[in-house]
Amino acid sequence: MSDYKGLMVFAEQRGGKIHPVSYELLGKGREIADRLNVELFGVLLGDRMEKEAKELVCYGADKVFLYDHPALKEFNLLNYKHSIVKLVEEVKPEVFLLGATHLGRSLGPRIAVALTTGLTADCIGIDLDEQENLVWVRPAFSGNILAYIKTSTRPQMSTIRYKVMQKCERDPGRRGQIVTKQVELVDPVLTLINKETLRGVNITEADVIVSGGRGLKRPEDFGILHGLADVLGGVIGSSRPLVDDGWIGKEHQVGFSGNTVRPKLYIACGISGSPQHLAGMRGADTIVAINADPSAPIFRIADYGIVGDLYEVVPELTNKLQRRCSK
Amino acid sequence: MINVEGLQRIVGEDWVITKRDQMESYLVDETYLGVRPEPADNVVVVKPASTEEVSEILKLANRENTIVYPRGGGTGLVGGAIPTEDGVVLSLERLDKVEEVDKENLMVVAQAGVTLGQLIETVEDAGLFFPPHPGDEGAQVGGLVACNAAGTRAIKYGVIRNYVKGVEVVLPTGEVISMGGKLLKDNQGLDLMHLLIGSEGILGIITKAIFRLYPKFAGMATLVVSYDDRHEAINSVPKILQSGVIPLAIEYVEAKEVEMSAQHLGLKWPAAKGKAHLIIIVTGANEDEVYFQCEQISNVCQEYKAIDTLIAERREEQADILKIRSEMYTPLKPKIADALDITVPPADIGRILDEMDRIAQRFDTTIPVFGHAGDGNLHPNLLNDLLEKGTLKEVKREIYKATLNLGGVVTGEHGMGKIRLSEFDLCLDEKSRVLMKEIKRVFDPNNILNPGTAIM
Repeated sequence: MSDYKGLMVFAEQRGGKIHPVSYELLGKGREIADRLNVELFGVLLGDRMEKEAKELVCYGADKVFLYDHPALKEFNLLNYKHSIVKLVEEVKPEVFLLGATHLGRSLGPRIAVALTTGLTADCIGIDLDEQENLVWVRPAFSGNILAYIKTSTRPQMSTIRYKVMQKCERDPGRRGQIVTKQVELVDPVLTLINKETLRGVNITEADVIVSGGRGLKRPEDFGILHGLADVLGGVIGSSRPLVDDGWIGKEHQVGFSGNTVRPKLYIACGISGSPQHLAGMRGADTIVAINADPSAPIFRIADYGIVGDLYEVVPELTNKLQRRCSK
Repeated sequence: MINVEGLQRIVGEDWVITKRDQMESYLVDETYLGVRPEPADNVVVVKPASTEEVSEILKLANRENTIVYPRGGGTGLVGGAIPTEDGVVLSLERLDKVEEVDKENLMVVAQAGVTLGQLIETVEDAGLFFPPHPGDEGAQVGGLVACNAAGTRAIKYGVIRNYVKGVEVVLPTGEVISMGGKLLKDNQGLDLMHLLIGSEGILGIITKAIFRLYPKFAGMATLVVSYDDRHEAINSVPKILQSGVIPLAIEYVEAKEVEMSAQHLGLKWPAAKGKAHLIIIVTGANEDEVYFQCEQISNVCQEYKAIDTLIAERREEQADILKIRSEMYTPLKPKIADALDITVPPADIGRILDEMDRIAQRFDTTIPVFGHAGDGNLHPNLLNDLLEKGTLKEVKREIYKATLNLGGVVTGEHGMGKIRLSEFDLCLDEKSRVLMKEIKRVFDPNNILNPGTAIM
């Protein structure tokens, strides 16, 4: 076991951008590497990622192994695994860290199995015991108990949750080595033809949502809401009944059985505010409600309430905003 | 004629809805379309803000012989809240305060309009736990008590009735009375409170309730056990209970329906293998206790040819599994004519499943089933093909007869509502029916409160 030395962090990229969890892992890795007086490695796979490799150095890596190849641009489980396993066998780090992202969670176990070592998933903390073995901390049984886990094999592997570790301050003058590795591709079982977003809209990430409910009289009238959403750079949401009636796609549904959203601005038009709907949107920063019924429950959680017919209020609001924007 | 002005004087003009297009969500509940009753034409919705206003409304209604339909979250499945005659829908949504979480007595005092979701959140923020989970978290406290709701997580500590320690009630004649209190024992006179629990809004309007709470469990795990044969799955349930482990919940689901629910929610059902699954939630004071129970359950299930056992430990994973289970109704809705709520003695659950297979074969249909297997409560789903063939009523009647023969009841948790009353004569003897009618008359001499519900 003593020939294993140093820590290695898998630097995850998507669309050529480093996932922030990777910087966090470098931050924690740096701290441990300094305590053990060993090197901190990064491993990065992608297409034309030289600049990003340097970034990893700025955030604490001593040496970055770079696999640069067009075929590695998109995540490919088999190619990624193949390169990393070979690298670990060659460099022999005593610790290997990945972010507990979807990608990290599918890649981590494959690497661990290939190396016949243990992997502790979903950690929220790392400690060292007296013998300088790592102690992983992860929640167990509903998060009420913390499990402390040691790995008896090498490397000690884990996936670590996003937003629990601190990244280092970026140091543009930091020096480190970038080692470009020869890329070996395994037989392609899967080829990525194209990426398509599922029916266009992802309301869970929108900053502004204009939502319609039973107050709308016809499916076409979503057009009125579109006008307002366009001015504000927002997307369209809907309450459950309209989705059930097939007026709009399920991907627009906000509520307990739909999407939970936390936009900066949520404008509820003709939505009465059933508990089912409120459960999906009460986390919004600012809620504006437009409804003809002054007793509608939505007004109880709204920051601003407009009692009126949405068919009058929404076009007027759209007009006013448009005029202000064009000034 | 409904005295709209009188109502407006009590609650204020803004809180009386008379326009039909603004009240549509108050005219229906979650009852399946094949059996859902039609709402009446002349309905007014009123939203009081206090117990006093509820009392004034009932006094007015009683004086003028106006029918009143109490309404909570509208999540019922038997038409209990649907206004089937001209009258007033009284929504309790504005009574929405959790008045107190009493950490010393382990009790919570909540107004009728507090939603289940809100109740769970407030109690957990205070470091305590409210174990039962009757499905839709939009359900409200008043409705939970009035319908004696149950759902999952009812095995270890029972249904809502076991948690209610006190209620404040407005009688149909307008008087306000309190029953019970923060007490674990109470033997003063006849127990009126337990008469009100499960009375489906025909004896009085519940405006406030006191529930018993439990300390948070240090450990909780959710197991998903998969089987290829649904009978093996169901038959292992009584064996788990007899082995000495009492889980918080044992749920039975079938692969096709549970996967539909997961897909509908944009989640993934964790078990890939098997045609039927048990979802088992275990709790313990420490990690060892939870592990011990998981092991015990896993051993029993393997004797019954379980093909896979998954343990979810993370809170999010467990919450997803519960959510998928709780939302099974929604995507199935368009395909289902009626979903039943039969309950048999826990050890007979395998027998009733055999009976249902026999009935399905005889009437040339399939009957998907899910339910709270640990307490003998199953929800057989009768599909739309029975409506088309005209055999829906007959199939239902057969299932009910088989249930009653095993010493069961036609409803374990949904209640009789308005749509199960056709079976009333089948399941209760004449003297019991007369007693119930007499009790209703004593509470509500003019029969203004939710008539045509729960009893006949």
